[in-house]
Parts: sequence; C-alpha cells; structure tokens
Amino acid sequence: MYVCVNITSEKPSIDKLTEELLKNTDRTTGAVATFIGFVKGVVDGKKVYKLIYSAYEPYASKSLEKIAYEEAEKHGLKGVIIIHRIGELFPGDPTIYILVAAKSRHEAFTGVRNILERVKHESYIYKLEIREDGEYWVLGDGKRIQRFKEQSP
Amino acid sequence: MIIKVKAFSVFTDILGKELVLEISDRENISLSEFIDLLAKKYSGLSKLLETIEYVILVNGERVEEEHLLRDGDEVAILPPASGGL
Repeated sequence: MYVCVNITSEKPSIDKLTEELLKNTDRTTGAVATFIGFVKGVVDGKKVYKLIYSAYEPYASKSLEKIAYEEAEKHGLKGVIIIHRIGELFPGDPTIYILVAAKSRHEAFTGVRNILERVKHESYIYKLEIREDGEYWVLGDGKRIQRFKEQSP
Repeated sequence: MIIKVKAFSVFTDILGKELVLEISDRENISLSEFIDLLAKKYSGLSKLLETIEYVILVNGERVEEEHLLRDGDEVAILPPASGGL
C-alpha cells in the first residue's frame, strides 16, 4: 500500500496529489475519495479572521502515518495521502487534504471518513482561532478556551 | 540534569512555547514530580491541568507517571488535538 503524509504551510495541487496516488497504486484501484477541509468564516455566530495551526513535529507526522497505515490495513485501502497545512490560514483556505484509493467506493468513502475523524483527535495538531470577539484555543472537537494573554502563538 | 519542555496550544499562554529547566539538587526525578515542580514555578498550570484533558509525552512517547526523566529528555504538554478543519 502507498502512504504519504505531509505537514506543510504550502497549498498542494489536488491534481498532482491524485496523479501521485494513482501512479503509486496498482490497477485494481477503482475509486479515489478526496476530502478537503476549509477554514470557516463564521463560528458560534462570530466572524473568524484567521486560524493559526501548529504541530508537534516530528510526532505529528508520525501520528498521521500511523493513522494512514492502520486505516489502510483495516479497510484494504490501496493508498492514502494526508496533507495537513499549518501556519496562518484564512476563511476559505484549505486546511487538510485526505485522498484514499481503494478497489471500490465503499472502502474509499469509509476510509476517508475514518481517517478524518482520527486526524481530528489523534494528530498532535492544534489551532488558535482569531475572531471578532477574541482569540480562542480550540481543544478537541469544538471546545474553546479564550486566550489568557496577548503573545505570539 | 537538563530537561526541555515543549508546550502547545493553551499551555503556551502559561509556559511559552519552549523552556529549559536545570535540576541540580537531585539525582533523578519522576515525570509526576517534574510536573509538580513545573506547576509550582508557573502559576496557573495546576488549575489548567485540573480543567482540561491533556497528554504528556516524554521524547514523543506516553510514559507512566513514575517514569524517571533523564538528562536531555524532552517533555511535551499537549491538550486534546484540534487538527482537521
């Protein structure tokens, strides 16, 4: 199986990622499911100016690799690419790309959904939400703590 | 003994991103003793540790509270992840 993960400030090309995935998987691949997450412009009714993502490297990359291999094994996936962006991202910017190659759509959809859920909880990646009513650390799936004091993230 | 501490997310508000502690008055220290020491030095840390879920890694690995730290170890204090979208 083919696995590629990357944590980067760069915005990747979805065409190139798809080509890379197909090039590195065998001819039994019949489906590629792609998930792209974006920065939302409004949260809790408040305007979001930007998100600042940070990662604990190299362990964040290792956690993504672990998720990719385990889910590929579990669902018989042919290939997995996970690209997570870090740094300052603005509403409408893509934050995460998950591409899954599989024999059929069923494995591809299940794989991409499970990988996303695990990335959200297990990835050692963190975000600070800068919005019109203050700065909030986002903890886990939705809990927010307002920043104690002003300092660079 | 030198221990490096890396903090992430909400913990950076108290500890900053990174700090180095020198422990000179003892031969060894367990992870839980080290966290107690850190909490005494940085006000607000105890309360935060009681308030939210967190993970502490030593050199990237989860270890027991009794784990003895070694010179040069990296201790990371991490809240629940918030990757994805």
